[in-house]
Order: sequence, then structure tokens, then C-alpha cells
Amino acid sequence: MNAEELKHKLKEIFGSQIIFNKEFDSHADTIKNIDRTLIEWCNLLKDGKIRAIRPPKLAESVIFIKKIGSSNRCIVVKIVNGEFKEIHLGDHAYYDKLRKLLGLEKDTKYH
Amino acid sequence: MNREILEKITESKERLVPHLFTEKQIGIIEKYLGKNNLTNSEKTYLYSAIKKKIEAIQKMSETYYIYGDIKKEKIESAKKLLNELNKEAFVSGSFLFSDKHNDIDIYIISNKRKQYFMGKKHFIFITEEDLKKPIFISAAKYSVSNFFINFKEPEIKRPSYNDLIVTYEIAINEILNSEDQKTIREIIFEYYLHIKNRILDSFTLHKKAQKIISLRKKRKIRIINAMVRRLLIHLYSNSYLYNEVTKFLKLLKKDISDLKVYDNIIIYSDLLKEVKDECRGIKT
Repeated sequence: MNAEELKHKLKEIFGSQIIFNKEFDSHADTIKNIDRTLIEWCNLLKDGKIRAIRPPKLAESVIFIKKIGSSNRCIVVKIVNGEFKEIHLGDHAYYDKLRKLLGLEKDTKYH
Repeated sequence: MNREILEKITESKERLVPHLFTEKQIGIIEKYLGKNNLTNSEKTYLYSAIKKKIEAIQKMSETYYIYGDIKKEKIESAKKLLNELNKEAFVSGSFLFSDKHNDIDIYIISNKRKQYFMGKKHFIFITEEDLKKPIFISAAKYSVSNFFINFKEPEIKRPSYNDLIVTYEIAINEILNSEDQKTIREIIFEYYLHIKNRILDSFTLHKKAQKIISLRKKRKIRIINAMVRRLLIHLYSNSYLYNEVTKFLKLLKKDISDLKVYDNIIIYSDLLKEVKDECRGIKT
């Protein structure tokens, strides 16, 4: 499954309003077997079976994080009691940047 | 370029000029060490003729510094990796203490920060100033280095409340999901840094994390809760903490009614209620 097909599948799960980060395609194309693991996890997430992270600064949203391998992460942002908003796929560096955008300051290997 | 070698050259210039270096070359090295601006022709000279001589001297001197109690075979492997580089660098991370390492962390002193993977090698470029940061001191304290690491006074910064809370949440979720529990290390690191005033080296941190990870879930959560509770009380003022926790508990209460799976939210709430009570107790 290529990146476009994977995005199409994820839109079927979460709805067409979902938006993807810029780096999604390049990561989707390079991470092995990402389609199966990610789709399975997203289906569970949609069914409310995944534990949320509640950032204190984001009153309106909760986030869900899936580790893929040792350095990649998938992050889904959902509006509380509403629809799913964003899907981010990235490596450690991207995850660090995103944590900052979510109102956090810490980075990992800068690490 | 290896600053230590450059410094030794300038210190011994009387013996080296004119046999190995010219006066002009020494002058350029001194300018480079003093972080003075070099002209374009000086830069060209530095990175061609002078650099080749420095690299040759470095190869011959092959001095390595071992920080921490590292197994001999690991030291030899690290030396080989460092030998391929002509820059001040050190090898650290799980490669030095575990046979199940995912990657090999190679820290290189540079003017700019960047990081990239090349196969299993993870190159992390840090500045000299970065060596004041606890996270890099931790790495350097258990490492094989091709230069003497001058451990400077660490710059210790308080984590933001939001960051600490989210790190805590991720750690609890990793425990509940029986995932790779890497975030526990972050909590332990912060705990020792701020509560015990100690920067754990990467191996000690690994051992402490493994000890907690090997425990049963309930016990693990109790330990992480106790650490985070102490961190919160220690790091932030009572009034700030009381207000932030009160606001946050309201959000968590709403989440419990909105989410289908909320065992994690109950754990966060229980801890934060205790913190709130403790703040109230100190306030009155």
C-alpha cells in the first residue's frame, strides 16, 4: 500500500476532514509494513479502545501516540467529544517538534 | 578539528616551527582556536594543508578517554568507530553496555546541531555549549571519547509543568499498554537531577530504569507516581501548582465521562488530587 492508498484508508476510518502532516508520505513509504499496523491501531482508536494523552495546554483536544519501531511515531489529534483532526507521522526529530507545537518544550536526543 | 591537538601544537610551537609547521600555519591555528574570523585564503589553508597534518598527528597519537566502567571489547569497538572520524567525538549509549542495542550513538562536537542515521550509526552533532546540558553530560559520563571531556558546571533547567505532566502521562500509558517503556527513563532522570541533585550517567540510568520496568504494573505505577509527586511539589510554587492542578483535574473529570477507556485518566487524577491536597496543606 503506498502513501496515497494509506491516506485514503485512514480517511475512511476517521472521516474526510482529517489532515496529514507534510512528512506523512515520505515516512509512509519508508516504514516497513506500516499499513497493517497503523490501520489496525487506527481502527481500535476509532472504537475508543486506545488510551489518550491529555496535554494540560490543549483544553479542546486529546492526543494518541503510537510508537512505530524505535524512532518513528504516529500521533493522532482528536477534538474532545468531536471528530478526529490530524494525523502526524514522523521520526524522533519531527516528534520533538510536534511536542513543542502541542505546548510542550522538551526534546529527546537533543534528545 | 581536534582542539586538544591544536592547543598542544600552539603550546609547543617553538619545537615545531619550522620543521612541521610554518609560522603562518601556527598563526592560523591560533586564530581558529581564538574563534577569530579567518580570511577566505586562511580558511582554505586551514582546511587543506593544515588539516591534513593535524589528522596525521591525530592518527599517530590515538589517545582515547574512557568514562565509566566499560567492557574492554566495547571500548575496542568504540575506538574503531572513532578512528574513522577526524573530529572530536565520543561514543555513548546502549551500544556500550547492551548486546541488544538498536543503534550506536556517536556524538560529534560541531558548530551546528544536527542528527542523522547512517545504517545503525546515529550521528548527533552537538556544540561545545551543549556539553553543559544534563542530557549530554549523562551520555558523556559513560562514553569512549577521542578527546578529554571537560565537564563544566551543568546548566540545569526546570522542566515546564506541561512537559512534566505529558511525560508522566506517556510513562503511565506505556506501563498500562505493556509497551517499550522508554519514558520511565525520562522520569527517573528528572527525579535524580532535581530531587537528588545528581546527573545519572546513561548506564546507571538504564540499570535504574530496568529495575523498575521488571516490577509488576501496580508497583511500577506507584514508584512513578511517587517520583512525579515529589518533582511537582519540589519544582513549582504551591499556588501555581494548586491552580494548574485544579484546572487540569476539571479537564480530566470531563475526559472520564467522554472517553471509553479511562483507567489511565483515573491514575493521573488520583495522583493530582493528592498533589492538590498537599498544596492545600502547605498553603494553610
